[in-house]
Order: sequence, then C-alpha cells, then structure tokens
Amino acid sequence: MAIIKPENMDFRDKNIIAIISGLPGVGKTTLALSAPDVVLIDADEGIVRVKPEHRKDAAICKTYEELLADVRSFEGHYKTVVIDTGGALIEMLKDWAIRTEPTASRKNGGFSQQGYGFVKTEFLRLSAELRKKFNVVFLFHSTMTKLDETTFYDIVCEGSAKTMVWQPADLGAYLHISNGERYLGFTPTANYNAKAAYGIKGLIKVPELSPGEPNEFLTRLFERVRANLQAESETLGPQKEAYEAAMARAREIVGNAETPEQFLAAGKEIRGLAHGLTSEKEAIALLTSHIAGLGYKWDGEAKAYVKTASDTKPSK
Amino acid sequence: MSKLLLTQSLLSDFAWVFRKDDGYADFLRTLRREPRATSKAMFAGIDFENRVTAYASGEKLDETHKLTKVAQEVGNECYMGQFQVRLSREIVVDGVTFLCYGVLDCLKAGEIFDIKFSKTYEVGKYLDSPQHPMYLYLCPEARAFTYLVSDGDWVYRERYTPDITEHISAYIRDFMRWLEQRGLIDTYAQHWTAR
Repeated sequence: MAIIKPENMDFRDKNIIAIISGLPGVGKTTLALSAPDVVLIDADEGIVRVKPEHRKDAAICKTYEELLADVRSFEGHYKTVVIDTGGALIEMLKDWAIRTEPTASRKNGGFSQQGYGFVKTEFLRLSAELRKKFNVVFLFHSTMTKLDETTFYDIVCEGSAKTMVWQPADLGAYLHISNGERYLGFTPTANYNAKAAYGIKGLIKVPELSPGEPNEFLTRLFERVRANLQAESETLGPQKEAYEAAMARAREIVGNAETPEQFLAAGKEIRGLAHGLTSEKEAIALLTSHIAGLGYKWDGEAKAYVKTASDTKPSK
Repeated sequence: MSKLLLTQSLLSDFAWVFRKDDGYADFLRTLRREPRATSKAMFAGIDFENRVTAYASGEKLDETHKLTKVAQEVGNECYMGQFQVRLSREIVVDGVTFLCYGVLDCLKAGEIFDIKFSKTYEVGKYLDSPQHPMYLYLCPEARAFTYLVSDGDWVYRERYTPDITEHISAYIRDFMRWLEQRGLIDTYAQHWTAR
C-alpha cells in the first residue's frame, strides 16, 4: 500500500456523488445535464422535458441488468452519470431482487424486509462502483407533506431505502423556486433534507439559462468542490501531522505515569506539547482514563491524586 | 457568582416538551433532577454503545450476535479515538453564566462521534437536536460532529460541521425565556447550580 502525505494529496480527479431533489417540473434534469461530460440514465422520461439545445446522451433502461450493461459501456466516454430518478432506480432494484432472490417476495405477494435488505446492499455497491469511474447525480422527485405546522418536501423513494440513498452522497440539495428564482438548498432545514460538505452550503442561486448560454452550473460547482477539498487538505495537513505527533508522544507519557507525582507531571507535559486538532483533549482523556485504571482519582480538597476507596480497603 | 450547569440532555428534554404529550412532565423531572427509570430503548442504546466500545478497545465480539456486524462498523470508525471524553466550558448568555458540560462518546482527530441506536431512524432526525451545537461548543477544535446511528441492520451517518450548526447560545436563550415565562427559573437554579 502506498502512503500519501497530505501535502501530496490531489483531489483534481475526485468523483462526486450528489443528490438533487425537487418538485416535478422545477428543472432537475436540465440542471443535472450541466455536469461535466454527462450521460443520462432516463428511467423517468425526463429528457423529453429538456429543451433540445440542452439535451445530452441518454440511455433508456427498463431493467436493472440493462442499466448495469449501459454503465459498463459508459466507461472512458463520460465523466458523469445522471440517474433520473433515484426513486425509479429503487423500483428497478426491487424488480431485480424479486426475480433473483427468492426471499425478496413475501408469501402473500408483497416485497419482504429481506428484499429491502438486498435493494439497499445493491444500491450501496452500485454507488461505490459508479464513484470509481464517474461523478454521479441521483435525481429524486419530491413530495410535499405536512408535519405538525411545517411543510416538508421529502424525496419520493420507496420504503426504508429512502434513508439509505443519502448515505453515499457527498452533497445533497433541494431545488426550489423562491420569489421567482431557483435555488439549490444544501443545508438541511425543517422543510427539506440536504447534505452540505466541502464548503458547499446554504442556498446557492441557479441562474436561468438564456438562449445559447452553455449549461455548466454543476461543472463549475464540482470544480469548486475539488478546489475546496484541495485547500482544506493543505490547511489540514500540518494540523494532522501535529495531531499524530502529539498523540504518539502523549501515549508514551501516559504509559510512563504510575504514581500521583508522575500523573501531575504527565498532565503538565501533555499540556505543553505542540497540539493539532483535538489532540490535547484526547491526550488528557487518555491520561484520566489511565489514572482511573490504576485506581486513583483527583481529590479537589487535597489537590492531589488519591487511591479510590475500593483500592484502599485492606484485602481479606 | 455561581454558575448554572447546563447539559445537552436537559436541553433535549426541553425540546421534547413541545413534541410529545408527557414531554412537560418528563422535563420537570429532569429539571428537578429526579431519578428516572431506564427505558427499554435506553438499555438498547447502552448495550450497543458497550459493544462498540469493547470492539474498538480490541475485545472480540460474539460473531453470532445480530448486532456484531453493525457494532464493528461503528467501532472501526471510532478506532484509536478516545471514549467518554468529559468536557466543560463556560458561556455567558444575556448576562447569565452557564457551565456547559458533556460527555463525548468518542473524540478522534478533530471529529466528535455520537453512537446511537434507533429502530426508527430517518434522515435529518437529529437536525434540531441541541447535542451537536452543545458538543461543538464544548470542543471548538472539532471540525465536525457525526451521529453514527444503527437500527440493528445498518449504520447511518448524519454529519454536522460548525458552519451549518446554530450556536448553542440560541438554544440557551430559548430555554431561559421559556423557563422565565413558566416561573421555573428558581427550580432550575435550585437544582442546577454548578459547584
């Protein structure tokens, strides 16, 4: 295994998985087609609603096996795969599970709990496989529900798979119109789920495309993600090194502390280390746990470590 | 001047006042620091957390137990982290000094992890929880707080960074305002004054 130092990490080719949800007709498919070198897996006939000038290559799949075959053929030709919609993909996966896994169907006909297990496992496997070669944009229709006094826009996705689809995503946003302008909401709110990461957060305005204007909103957004990741890595690198060094030294210090005097000296030495990230708090917690393990506790009145009661009792 | 002790569980119980029928009674019990019975759900949470901690500390788990796979997945995430990290930090809100206190399930390389067991997990479940605002305040060096949630079959992650998290002072302000309206400030001061 090759070890890469943080300063040598390169995120220029990192593939991104994003979820975009929104009410039907808000412009999800057109927006998704603004991703770099994109191909659409159209399970929702979404391409029909895209203006001809913004249409891109599309594959129409009826079964999960067809989808897998199409994805294999995309390799080397495209950088981004759009799945329109994620909800339709889950339906395809259910159909696949019923055909290939006997326990996916209940005896009385419905889809079984085990069936959802297969669907979730395969969804995660597919996402991981796609990410190795492509950016992935999962589109989801939203539906409006009322929770107490709050309107909530939830993704349309069957059963317990609804929770799982968010797990592999780096980013998730709700596309909506507010005061006549379109926005992607990346920070979760009481009104919709979302996923903010790599400095992409809050509301980001999606400009309307004028005739002839290139459709490249997501291409730019993905570039921004990679630039933010690179910057974050450069800032974090020295902190991580300081963290590793401080924790390694703290483990030595803690390992050598066995008496109340040494505990005090160890605490002082740990506080004096050059720390990074949360190393100081972790090292102090490590020392505290070590001291307790040796049967000592801090006596605030005596201002010293003393043996705990159970350890001071004479043994029978 | 004495300080008022504040924990995320007190603020969480306050949030439940508006969400469940017996929320007010439960909150009053917490405010008066009356002992409460451990519920079945709490036992399940403690049992799961113990399995994760044991695995992350190098113990072998019973491979035939139904929770072993998910406990290992969470344990791998927490491996080499510090468990049960006790932290406190003062905060002054509207002239009142509070001592915030919390026990982090796991702290590792700038990340706080909280281990949850929930049979009814849904995405965004912890969005309104005061736990991540409180713990990110207690540990300002942390870059993120992640809820590692298992329903027994799967592990879900819900991650909050400081830049998308409301500051804990907003929760404290709402809490104090409500206590004042209800005439409960003295009860709070009586039972929650920090030594």
